[in-house]
Amino acid sequence: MYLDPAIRDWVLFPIMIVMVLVGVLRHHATQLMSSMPKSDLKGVRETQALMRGRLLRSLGAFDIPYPAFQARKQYLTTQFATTNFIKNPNQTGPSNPMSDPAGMEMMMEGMKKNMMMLVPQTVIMSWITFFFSGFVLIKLPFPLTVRFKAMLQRGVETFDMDVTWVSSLSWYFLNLFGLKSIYTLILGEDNAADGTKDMAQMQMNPMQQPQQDMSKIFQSEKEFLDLSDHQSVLVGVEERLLAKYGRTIGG
Amino acid sequence: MVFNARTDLAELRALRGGLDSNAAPFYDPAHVLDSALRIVKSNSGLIDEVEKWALYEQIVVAAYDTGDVTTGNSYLDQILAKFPPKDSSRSSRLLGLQFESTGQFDKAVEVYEAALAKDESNIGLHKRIITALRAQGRKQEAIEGLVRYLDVFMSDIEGWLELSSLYLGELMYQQAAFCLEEVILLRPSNHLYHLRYADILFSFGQVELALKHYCRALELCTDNVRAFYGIRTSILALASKNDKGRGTQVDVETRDSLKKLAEEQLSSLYAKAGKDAATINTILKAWIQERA
Repeated sequence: MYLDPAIRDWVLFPIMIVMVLVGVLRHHATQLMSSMPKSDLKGVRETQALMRGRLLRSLGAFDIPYPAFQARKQYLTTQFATTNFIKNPNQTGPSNPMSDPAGMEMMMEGMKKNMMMLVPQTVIMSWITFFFSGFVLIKLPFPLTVRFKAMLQRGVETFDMDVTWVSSLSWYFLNLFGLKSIYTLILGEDNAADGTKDMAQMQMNPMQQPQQDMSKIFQSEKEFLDLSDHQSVLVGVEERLLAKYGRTIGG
Repeated sequence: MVFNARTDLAELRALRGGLDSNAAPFYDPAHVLDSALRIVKSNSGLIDEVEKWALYEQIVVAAYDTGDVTTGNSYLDQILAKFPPKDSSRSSRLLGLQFESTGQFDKAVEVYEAALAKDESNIGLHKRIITALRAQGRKQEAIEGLVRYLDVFMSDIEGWLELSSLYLGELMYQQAAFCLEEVILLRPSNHLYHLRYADILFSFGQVELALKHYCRALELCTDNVRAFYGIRTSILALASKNDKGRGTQVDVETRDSLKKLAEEQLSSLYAKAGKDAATINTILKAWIQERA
């Protein structure tokens, strides 16, 4: 089968160029719209307190002397039992995004990102189906089963044409998944022009649990701390040091 | 010294990663100022627009550090023209630096607090307020401010080290030791913090614990001369306090072996030294024999 080269010039390349440009536009628009993450002091203090508890349980704690470790353990276990470090001491249960301003911000950001991705996709898809339907555009280099015919040859309902000849809408989908490397070339790593990452995120978001209940987390951290013990690395350090130089005690 | 733009640029980039990171080179303001100015003026294609402003920031800070106020002011004016302080906490910090360099600390603190009102978890601004207090000699207020800062940002090593040096200036050894313990918790494998902790412990009389930490520092960093000196000095101090060695954690035999190790290693390390080896070795031998 022989295709008119005009198809190549006026459909293939324009679709690809338009998609690249729209991607670049999306990237810059996302950069303009994204706001700096606002963190407040109480939130920072909360996370850092938890980190400090974890540090005390880690191997690094063996380097400080036992009384220092004990003092810190006492202090943190008593403090974690109170609401000293918790950001919102009055909330019960997991935080509701509606009430917690930080959660609200996160939801707005997610919604903005979704819009950024959804709108260009729908616009381009409708543009392609409106202007570029009714003919086949490209021949895929790999064979496919006949079930794909309905999907990939939407405008052209023939009975016995190869499934490898596909319409322009499938060229659009090929580009959608394939232009990622070109975006990395033009925009550098970590660009916002790629549609596939957003789609993956959309699937992840409904599964994200609501903000955890901080008092429960502190409670479990306190229990871990209670169970932690301390094997000072300073015990036997002299023998180890002498052994390092090939000597023994008394030698 | 040969001017190699690429290595200098790599150094400047590493410095921007923060002085606490592992790859950061030693911060020498004069060298930073010199190389950054040359890169910026050379107009080569090595830096793009974004990096240019980061380099300008480094130039301003290095210029104020070396006392070259005119260069600092000229580059700061360019930065402020492009990034007005009311929108950017980074430029507010530099503007406050300018006030500090001329001694107008009150104005500087005003600028910092105004910027903090908009972005309250900005670490750089908090730290500048505390250094302004310290530069004015208001040590107690600096200590209080730093304690409040560390209550929130508990994992900031620079902050804990600064607080420990403030406490040492007031001869509050126990508190300084507490700060160093926090630092060791955060970076347990860094031998330098063990050394400093041991020095502080020795200073307020906990000689045995100091000895153990000197040993630990040596374990982490072989042939560390300061640790050897520390070991020998603490053993001699222990000997003069309690001859029998009973009731202590480190018995006499261990102490003797450690002392021998320290002396022999010190002598051999210094013997390997280059030119002034003769003078140093004589001094060392005399020191070793003096309190043997």
